[in-house]
Amino acid sequence: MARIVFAWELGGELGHAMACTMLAHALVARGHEVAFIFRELHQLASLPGFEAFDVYQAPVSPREGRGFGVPDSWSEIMLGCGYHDARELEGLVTGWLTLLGHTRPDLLVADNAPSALLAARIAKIPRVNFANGFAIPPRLDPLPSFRADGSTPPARLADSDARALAAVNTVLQHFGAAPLTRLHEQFEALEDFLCTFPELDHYGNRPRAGYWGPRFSVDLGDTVRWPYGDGARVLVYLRSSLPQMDALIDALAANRCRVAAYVPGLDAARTARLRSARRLVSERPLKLRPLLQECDLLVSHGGNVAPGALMFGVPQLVFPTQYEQFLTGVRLEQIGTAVGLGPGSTAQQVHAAVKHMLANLSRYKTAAQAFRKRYAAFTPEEQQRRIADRIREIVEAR
Amino acid sequence: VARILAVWEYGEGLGHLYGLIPLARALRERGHGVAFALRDATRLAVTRSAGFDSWPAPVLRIPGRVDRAPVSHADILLNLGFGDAGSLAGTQRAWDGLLRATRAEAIVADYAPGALLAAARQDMPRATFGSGFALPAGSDPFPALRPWEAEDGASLRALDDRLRAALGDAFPGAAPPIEALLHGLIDLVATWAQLDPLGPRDAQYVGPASPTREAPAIEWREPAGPRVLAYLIAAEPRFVAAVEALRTCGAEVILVAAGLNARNAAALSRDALRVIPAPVALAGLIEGATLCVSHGGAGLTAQAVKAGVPLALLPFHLEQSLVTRRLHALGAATARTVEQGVGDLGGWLRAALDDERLRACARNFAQAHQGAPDGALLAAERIDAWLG
Repeated sequence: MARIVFAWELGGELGHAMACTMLAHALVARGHEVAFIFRELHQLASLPGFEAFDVYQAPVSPREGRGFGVPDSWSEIMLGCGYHDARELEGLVTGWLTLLGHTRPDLLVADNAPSALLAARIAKIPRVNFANGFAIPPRLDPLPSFRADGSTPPARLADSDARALAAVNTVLQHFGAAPLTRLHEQFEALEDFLCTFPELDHYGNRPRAGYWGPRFSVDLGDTVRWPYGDGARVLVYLRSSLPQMDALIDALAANRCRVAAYVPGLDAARTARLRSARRLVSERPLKLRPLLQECDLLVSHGGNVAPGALMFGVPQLVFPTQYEQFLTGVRLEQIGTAVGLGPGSTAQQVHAAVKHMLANLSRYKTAAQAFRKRYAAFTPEEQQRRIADRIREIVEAR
Repeated sequence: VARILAVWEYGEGLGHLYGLIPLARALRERGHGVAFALRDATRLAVTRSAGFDSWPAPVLRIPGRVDRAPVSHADILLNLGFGDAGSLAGTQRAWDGLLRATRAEAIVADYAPGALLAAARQDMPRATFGSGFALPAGSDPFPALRPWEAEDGASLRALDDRLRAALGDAFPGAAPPIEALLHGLIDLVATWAQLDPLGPRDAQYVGPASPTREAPAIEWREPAGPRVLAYLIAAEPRFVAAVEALRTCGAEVILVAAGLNARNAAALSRDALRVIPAPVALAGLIEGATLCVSHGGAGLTAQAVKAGVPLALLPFHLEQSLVTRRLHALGAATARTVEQGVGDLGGWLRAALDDERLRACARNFAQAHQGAPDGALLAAERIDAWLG
């Protein structure tokens, strides 16, 4: 039995906490003890069985991103989250060291947690990465750009890495640890649980990588059935802040779609417009498995639900809100299973995209189902079993 | 003796820590164990360097929509996320874990409503220590914050009710009253009645903490002549104009510029103007200044008038505006509001440097408070006695 601590430091939404919780249950079932150090705590009540775990706040900067432009690489994300200033980073690492000193893990599981990795390095605590492709950057020097179009000047990437590395090394030296020669060494771990497939990897091809399949959960939430009747079955999983929400509602109504929608925080007027005999709107998360098994189209932002739906062979319309989701959309387009719509899309474009998807469903569905067949043995449960096995090997070997 | 968790959650800059750290040290010298929890985890190196175990404090989700001009403490707390029952429940669970992990027996809170709520839920002894802004001057409803605006009891009550409802949803049947978010069992105000942004009122005033020695020390260069000590935030819209005014005011100037990078600070430093992009030890500097320029933060302004130094103030948020009003009423400060713009800031600054009346008022205040104890040390004495 080992003591295992999950650290989630950067990135938003429920996916991180949910993935950590599901894996934690698999580990507890094998007799391990688990604690969480999470960036966000407001979703705790949505996590199944979270009462069983100790939960701590992850150290974060309240000024994240303030004064920084749109990041083009991992080092630029880090610079916006405290790494521009060695003293601020020292503060974050101090917080992690206090938490690791208290929880005394035999293994740290880092989900998008670069400063936790740094603290574990200082405290000589074994560590693994457990995240999607975006949060585990390829070990390249400099760390690669997110921009798929190659628009980031190489000198900018090198400069950003050098600035973050300078802060990292100041902090390592402060705590008596050996410096890094390249920034990507910060992500070194005993295992990368790279939770995606090569076709969906945000970075495209990367040197030497094992893929563990995507993280998603489809068995939590309220059970609902598709509305009765004919018309394409469209699952809508969006934030209420989507600028094209009105156009989307109109397009779904105009095409007589059957809809199951989860749009938390949608205002009363839009909820009333979206809701009808053939369009159900839920205030609470929906159990996805029964819906995805019969779904014709998923409309989402391209978060964890997108690779999840792909594993059910479902075509998709993606409205990315940030670059990570944009890259997921690009990958889904590349394998012929989705269409992505940019943040500035007009109502006309939304109508055209919905119409296009509905008119070409069989083509998109064929591609999506071919992908599903390629990974037919993959299930979230099987993924968790394999990861838990590997974690046991790691802790037993030490 | 007790194990005490000192907590700072809200408010910008390092002023809060520069009061809490000497208070914590004094408590430690009296035999108590002290650890720190900070919402701004990037500051944990500061408390760790001072020799304290340093923990990240739980962070509430900031709501998507906030009231840009909050009218009461309830409104501010709603802006900070205390109206979100799910977030409250999650963070309070982490607070419970943190209190267990530190084995805290008492809380000392500077603008730390999350910690106060956690302590209230467990009936743990708790004290507040701060500028007075985080301590409402009344309750039921929390009063309006702007004395120049008419109070509307019904809308103030509605804000209180929203806050109360969120606490009720988060802790059904076990929600403490909303006053527990801001009040301790004892409340110590680290200023004097005349400077209290929400005063004067019936409160336990202990006076401000002494100027900090936590940061690197620097010295005035010129043996004589006027000297300006300025503390400004680089991102504030008037910063560039203020730097130019400081450069041409004819005095030796030390400008501590929060949020500026070292390269820009070096580029702006010329002639008699030194721009420093990091905190400096204010002890020794304030006493030698002719004029203090700032946005109106409670700690620095109180320390300045305690040293008999008048102020030229550029307030931009509510607490600063309230502090500025008090200092203006005292005759020890001149001020430019955001609405007044940046026209002839240089002339305004030179006039402040030459203003004998300002100087006399500041000097009178200093004489009246000569020998006043360090507020942090006095607070430690009171808390120690209260804890028994």
